[in-house]
Amino acid sequence: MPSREKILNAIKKAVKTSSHLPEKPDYVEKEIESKLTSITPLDDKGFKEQFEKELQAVSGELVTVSSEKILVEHLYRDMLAGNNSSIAFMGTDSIFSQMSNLSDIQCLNTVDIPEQDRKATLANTQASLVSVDYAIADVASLVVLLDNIPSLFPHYLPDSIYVVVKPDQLVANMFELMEIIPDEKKKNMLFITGPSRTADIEKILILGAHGPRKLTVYWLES
Amino acid sequence: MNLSPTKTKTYVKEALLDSRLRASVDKATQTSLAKRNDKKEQIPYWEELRYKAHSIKRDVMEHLDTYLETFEKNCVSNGIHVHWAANAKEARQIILNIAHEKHAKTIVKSKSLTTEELHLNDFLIENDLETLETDLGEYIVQLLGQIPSHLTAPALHLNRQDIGKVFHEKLGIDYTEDPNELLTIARNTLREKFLNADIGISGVNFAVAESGSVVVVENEANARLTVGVPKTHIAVMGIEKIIPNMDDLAVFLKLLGPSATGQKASVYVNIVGGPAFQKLKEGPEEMHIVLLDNGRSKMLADPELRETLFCIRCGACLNVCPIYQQIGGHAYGWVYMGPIGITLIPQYLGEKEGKYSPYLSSLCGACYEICPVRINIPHHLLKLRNNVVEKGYSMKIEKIGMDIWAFLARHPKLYRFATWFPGKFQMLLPKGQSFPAPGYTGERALGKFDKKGFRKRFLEMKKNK
Repeated sequence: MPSREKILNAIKKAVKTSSHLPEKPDYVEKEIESKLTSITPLDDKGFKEQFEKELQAVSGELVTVSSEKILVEHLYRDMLAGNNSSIAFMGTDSIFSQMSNLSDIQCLNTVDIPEQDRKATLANTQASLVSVDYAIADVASLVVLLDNIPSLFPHYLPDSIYVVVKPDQLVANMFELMEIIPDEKKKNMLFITGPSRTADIEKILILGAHGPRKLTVYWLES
Repeated sequence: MNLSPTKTKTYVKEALLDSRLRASVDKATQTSLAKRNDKKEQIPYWEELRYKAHSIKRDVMEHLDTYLETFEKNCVSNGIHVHWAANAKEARQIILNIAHEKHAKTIVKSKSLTTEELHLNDFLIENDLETLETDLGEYIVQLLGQIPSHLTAPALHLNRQDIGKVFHEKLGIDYTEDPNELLTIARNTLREKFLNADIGISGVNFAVAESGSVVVVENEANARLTVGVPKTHIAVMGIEKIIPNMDDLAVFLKLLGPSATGQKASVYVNIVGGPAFQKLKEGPEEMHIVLLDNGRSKMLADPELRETLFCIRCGACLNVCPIYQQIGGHAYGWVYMGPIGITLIPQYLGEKEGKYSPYLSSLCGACYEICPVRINIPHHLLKLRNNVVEKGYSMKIEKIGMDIWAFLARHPKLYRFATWFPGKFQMLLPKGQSFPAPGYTGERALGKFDKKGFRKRFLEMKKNK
């Protein structure tokens, strides 16, 4: 008998016996809802503050900018300060256009890189500016839906990741996130919470394990 | 590293004499516990979430056949090849066949306890496939020829000097014990491998039936590179990893981060529902999922012990266990260790091979209190101990002791004498010496017996009340 049938038959036989395990108390769902409400900020300002606090706790940085022009100025200064001379853009076309005018930074629009060269090019690019679909306030996670982008390499191959987040992309928590994303789009997602890290040597936290060492969120208010 | 739970008594003795090992384990477990407690305090609905997670897992196990069929159907419609493996041998062969079909030479792996269960690395290397672990801790233990000593922190038993030494010896670099430098060396070595590997093999934290997606949770981005860069992705999962839907995933992700690594959320949650190339024109063109039974359906048959299949491999029970804190992970003699490990060993390997495992516990209950899915580990250990005794694999000395006690308990006068006698007889022993107790007094002294004996003292207490 093929293994599939063998395994399924064994399971069907096993589950005929009902579990001798405790049931969930009736109050659980109500309590979760009420306690979740009690720690959820009341207004947009509160959500942003919560997101910023949580982002800092995971070694990320939030920079509030009121326009794309100011974002470009900050990004340029930050790139030079970090001795970064190359940056890839993904889903941030208008900022790419503005940055491309600056001569001392090599700017690449990911969609313009031939597919067969994308991996090697992105692995040798020092930074990236990417868009995301959502940000989760209570854990500072950034959410990317793979259905909405042509490439994911810029989100994890370069050393420094800059992310553009707009206020209307912020959701309270993961429970809310799962409610608002259409089922089909939930199949392929990436959550990013801070720069990559490891504590595998004596529990000492080191940023930049196999992925980005630095993560900066531009909170674009306009 | 060939370990066996039948040799666990020897491993425990060696571990207890290894002060360096005990210092490393103590430091790591205490750090993890402090971080976990801090994050848990920030989630006021933590206890309710634990109940909810238990309830979800209970439903999954009671309808596992239906959920697996739904998962398979949705995976196939997402373009994923699904394979079923009844045992480790079959799973290894499935993976090898895929590698041959793809003419693969190099494989990168992200941390997966299920593949440890298969001894997959050794098998693939024996078959001329360069197979590299990429999680830093796993990479270190692979260089040493060891297996992980913790469910989430594979190199927890090593200090920076040990790691510096192995990097120097195996990678031919100058000795350094600076953690940043050690990481940079591993990163540079492995980045090259990631970019050129033919196949990426990952484990699976959760498999979502409703969407046909697998979820791989991590911090280093090595799993992201494993599932996102090579042309073929193989995900290996135990059949118990199923959860019904994405709403349930939110519950488990909330619990996993704090419990596993003391984080509110892990850095990367990779939700993969099909080969990425379909959408992005980059990364895997083919994706395979290997559904492994390897004894799990047998475990499911027990209406109580099936609860041990609820485990999400967070490792919190190891950190809090007073036994694990003293002996580390290798002393358990298998790929699963700590409180949850000792429930799994006799179930996977049988009572004969796992006869010592359920006894590696003080039954203090800390593992039950900390478990994010409320697995009542101490309760299951009692049942597993009972199974060992009933199958006739208990230690002879224990059986003789219990037979003597049972005989005395049926003869009150003899019982009275037996509880009075040691207190009197010990006066004849040389000063400072106690009764010899095999297996106990070799390293420590037995306490003094009360001179009056229990019965006399009890009657006195009753009278004076």
